[in-house]
Amino acid sequence: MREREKKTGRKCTSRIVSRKYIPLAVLSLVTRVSLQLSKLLHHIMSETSTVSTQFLSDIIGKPVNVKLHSGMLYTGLLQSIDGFMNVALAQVTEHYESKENGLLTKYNSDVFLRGTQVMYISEV
Amino acid sequence: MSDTPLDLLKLNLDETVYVKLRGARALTGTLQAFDSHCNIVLSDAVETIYELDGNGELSSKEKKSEMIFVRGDSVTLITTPNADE
Amino acid sequence: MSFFGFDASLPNSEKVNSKKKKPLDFDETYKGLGDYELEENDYLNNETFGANVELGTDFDFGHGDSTPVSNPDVPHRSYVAAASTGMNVPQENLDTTIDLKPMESLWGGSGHNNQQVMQQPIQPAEPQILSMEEIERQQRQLQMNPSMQQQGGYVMPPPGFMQQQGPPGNMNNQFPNQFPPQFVPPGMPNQPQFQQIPQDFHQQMYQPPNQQFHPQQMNVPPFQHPQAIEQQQQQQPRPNIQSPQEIQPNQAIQQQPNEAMKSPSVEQEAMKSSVQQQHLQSRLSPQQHRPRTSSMSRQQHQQQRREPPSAEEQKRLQIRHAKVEKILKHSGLMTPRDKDFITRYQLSQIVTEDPYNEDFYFQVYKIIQRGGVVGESNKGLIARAYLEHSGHRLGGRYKRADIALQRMQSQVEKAVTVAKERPHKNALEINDLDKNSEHGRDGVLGKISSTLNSKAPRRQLQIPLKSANSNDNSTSSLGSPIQGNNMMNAATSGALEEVTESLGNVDINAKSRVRRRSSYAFTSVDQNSVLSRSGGRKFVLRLIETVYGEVLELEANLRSGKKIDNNKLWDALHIDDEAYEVCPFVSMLSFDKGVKIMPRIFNFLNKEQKLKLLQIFFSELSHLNIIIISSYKTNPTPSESQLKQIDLFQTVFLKIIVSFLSNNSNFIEIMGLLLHLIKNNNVSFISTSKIGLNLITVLISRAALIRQDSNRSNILSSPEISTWNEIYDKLFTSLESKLSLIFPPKEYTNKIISITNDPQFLQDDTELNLCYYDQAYIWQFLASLALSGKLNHQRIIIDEVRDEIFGTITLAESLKSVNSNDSTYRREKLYQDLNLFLNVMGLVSRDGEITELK
Repeated sequence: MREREKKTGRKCTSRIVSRKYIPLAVLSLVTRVSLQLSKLLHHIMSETSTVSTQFLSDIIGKPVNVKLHSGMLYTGLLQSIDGFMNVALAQVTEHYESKENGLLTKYNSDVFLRGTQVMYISEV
Repeated sequence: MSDTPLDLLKLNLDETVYVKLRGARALTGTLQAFDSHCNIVLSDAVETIYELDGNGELSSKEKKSEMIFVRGDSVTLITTPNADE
Repeated sequence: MSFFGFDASLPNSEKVNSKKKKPLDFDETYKGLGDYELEENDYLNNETFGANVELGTDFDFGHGDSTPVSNPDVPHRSYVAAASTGMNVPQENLDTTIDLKPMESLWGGSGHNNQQVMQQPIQPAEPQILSMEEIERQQRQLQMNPSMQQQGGYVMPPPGFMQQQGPPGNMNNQFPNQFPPQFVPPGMPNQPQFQQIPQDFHQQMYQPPNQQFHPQQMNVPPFQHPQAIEQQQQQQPRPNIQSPQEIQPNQAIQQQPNEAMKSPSVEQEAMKSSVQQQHLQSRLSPQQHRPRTSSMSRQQHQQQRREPPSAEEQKRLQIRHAKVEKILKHSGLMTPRDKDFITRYQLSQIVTEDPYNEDFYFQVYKIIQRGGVVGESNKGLIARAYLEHSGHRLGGRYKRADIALQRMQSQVEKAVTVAKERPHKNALEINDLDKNSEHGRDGVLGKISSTLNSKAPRRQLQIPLKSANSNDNSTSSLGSPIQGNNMMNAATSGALEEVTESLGNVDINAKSRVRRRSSYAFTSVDQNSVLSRSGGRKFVLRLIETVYGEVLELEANLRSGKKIDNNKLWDALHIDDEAYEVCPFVSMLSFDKGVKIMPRIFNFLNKEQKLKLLQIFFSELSHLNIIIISSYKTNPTPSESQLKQIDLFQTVFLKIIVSFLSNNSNFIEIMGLLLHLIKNNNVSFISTSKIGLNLITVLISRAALIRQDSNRSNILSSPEISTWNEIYDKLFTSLESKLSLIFPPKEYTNKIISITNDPQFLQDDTELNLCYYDQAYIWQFLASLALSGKLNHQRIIIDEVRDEIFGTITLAESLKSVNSNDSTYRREKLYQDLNLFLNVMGLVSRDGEITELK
């Protein structure tokens, strides 16, 4: 069954190129394949998203390191985080690259870090 | 009811904020508006531009603007300035 | 497979297959016809799917080199049958179980419905009326159809037949909508000239003599058959059987190709008549058409192969086959409707807002799913069905193409329009869907940033937000209202009693309190230390946002004339909130935005609420950030921004208080407010701040004013007056011996002068003291204090501020030596302010002397 599907699939594609419209039967095939694919993708996506979002929601309130693309490292209590990776931290200290490099700044109030700049977030 | 980082940022509207930008620049001013891109509008803003001179010494100069729009691209950090600053 | 939900299976297909070896058994073949005629929506079934053709299981697009093997004994399940309700489902069920025209409105293809309706009533009975002879005659005539067809403007030699007609697939597709459904059910192809597929065509041409067809016809040249014309002309009068309504659609059908191909009118006429004729015939002889169902034709095909034709014929057949195959390779897989469908689907995908509904694949999948099990071989069947039944329609493609093009254009236009509107809709959607992410909408100051103009950044993660960690749940009205809160709501006499009673409890030196306010943060200007005692900075800022939200909503309601319900606003203000050391409302006033919103809040509060608010405000004045930063004691070196804050508070909130006191409040209420202030605060500290002093001034001057008015009209009762005296005494006692402290020290005033004045100006004129710290507010306070006091009070006041009085006079006199407009004005101002106070006691200062006011 699978083989036949593959075979016919190949047959179809060679002809799609020359056709203005995709034959319906090909569409039905594509439908199947894409449905399976999207199911698979969805599965994978939901899997990863639950894992990562679980992580991110679990570490709220905990001390975290946030490294920006610029190399700046911010350590503080994770106040909140959104899907854009925007981060809000409290009791923040600022270091360059690593904590060993000395304190640059201490922020007394909440610090908002822009999501696009965030390289990683890790629990301390 | 939990706040997103941008909700927290919203609390700073009409308050003085310190905005760290790319390219060794920082802004301090009153947060008038912002959006999800972090495009921000500051009033009575002071921009501080840090530079390394020939000797490797860090120097800075300030630029004042009554009202300034900052494109979100360059924003890296927003916070309330510390009391002693 | 059916993309439109049609059933491609022939309901009686099995029966037909089993009977096919007795092809002339009329009774048998008629069976089930009525069912078909009753079916309304299946008008494109045959065209789309063909009849139940046995094509084998492989999926051969090439319409292969090998003759497909049909195996009628293998129970075969059509894709669509599977998609609908399963095998051999009665046709009637189709209508209910399947949406036969999914998204029909989308195509706008409702035109054919009329035809269906028109023609339906006549159909069912007719076949049974016919006599055997009639049927036979029609069969013969039908055999000539191919040739007659060619008379009608399509004169061509048989081998080139298909080519000249254009790609069969296209032809097939030219009139998908014109054919009433009951004309096209499988097993009754009643429009032979259009439906006949090439295979059928030459099958009939070379049909073996033992078939029901007249052998003679095999030799008839397919073009310009004189006999056919004759027969046709003979039958011209026949249309009396045909009702006029029935003719119409046929004319429509045939005119289209004519118009499109611009054929000569003579030919058009000829064709018209022939088409009508044929149509009539075909309807009258359903049995004749049986062999043309795909399964039957295939069978014939096989039979034909088994009986070897002559070499010449075979050669011709092969050539024809080759050509037909070449043409048919890819054509006809999709009808124009299918193509339209795909195009629209693709377009709609571009502009969709409802991905599921617009998802073609999903829709198809849904249809298939409904049918349950989907056999693997069905794919092949579908493809085959498309191949087999492509090209059975002729002509008219140009016009159709034009229409398709037009539709396409309008679709694109629509798509562009929709796309233009889309960002706006999206924004609205976002606001509706996700209130949490509505950043950049109305901020605290009602500012709007333009998320409307740009797409939001790509969200990378969907993070579940915990609903737990909120301290925002309103913790209001825990505990009892503070002492004396309710007195204003009670009757005057009761309230008075309360005032008097509570006065007895006032301990001015001790900070006795209902709240757990152990210490005052007089030592620090740090906002956060105050804020931390009312829930923290973030909490207060959130409250302010909430309040703004409520006010905006109330204002919107006001504009739209809706009912105003300020309960939510009142809750948001946390006036009654006893959970914190410092009332959150007082902390709100620590922020400029909190101050700025106050006038708008007051618009929506009733008098009781305003009074309650002010009671809390005066009670907790010591915690008010603005008092702290405006006191030279706690904030000896104010910054420019702090001075601005002070100014803002004065112009915004003080104004509200003044207007409330002068418009709404009576004497007792003012006394109550003053009592709250005295009872709960360190009055001497408050008096060191400009704002605090102003607040006290406002209260006592208003009370004095009412008292003066009342004195004339004798409205105030004696208990009220005695209560007032008591309160005043308390106030005075708390200020006594500290009155001189209300004057800020020189360093402080100089600091303020340096901030508020142009430094350039200062350098030039410092010595002249032209830049001065306006002490008018202090003299106003002293004046109002003295006004309400008795003589002994006034004496004490004068005694305490004697130095300031003479200092002011000296300063004014020193300005006399300077001859400038500024100094003169300054001197006048100094005397004016001083006299404000002195006048109360019947004194006036002038030219360095104090004299009695005359």
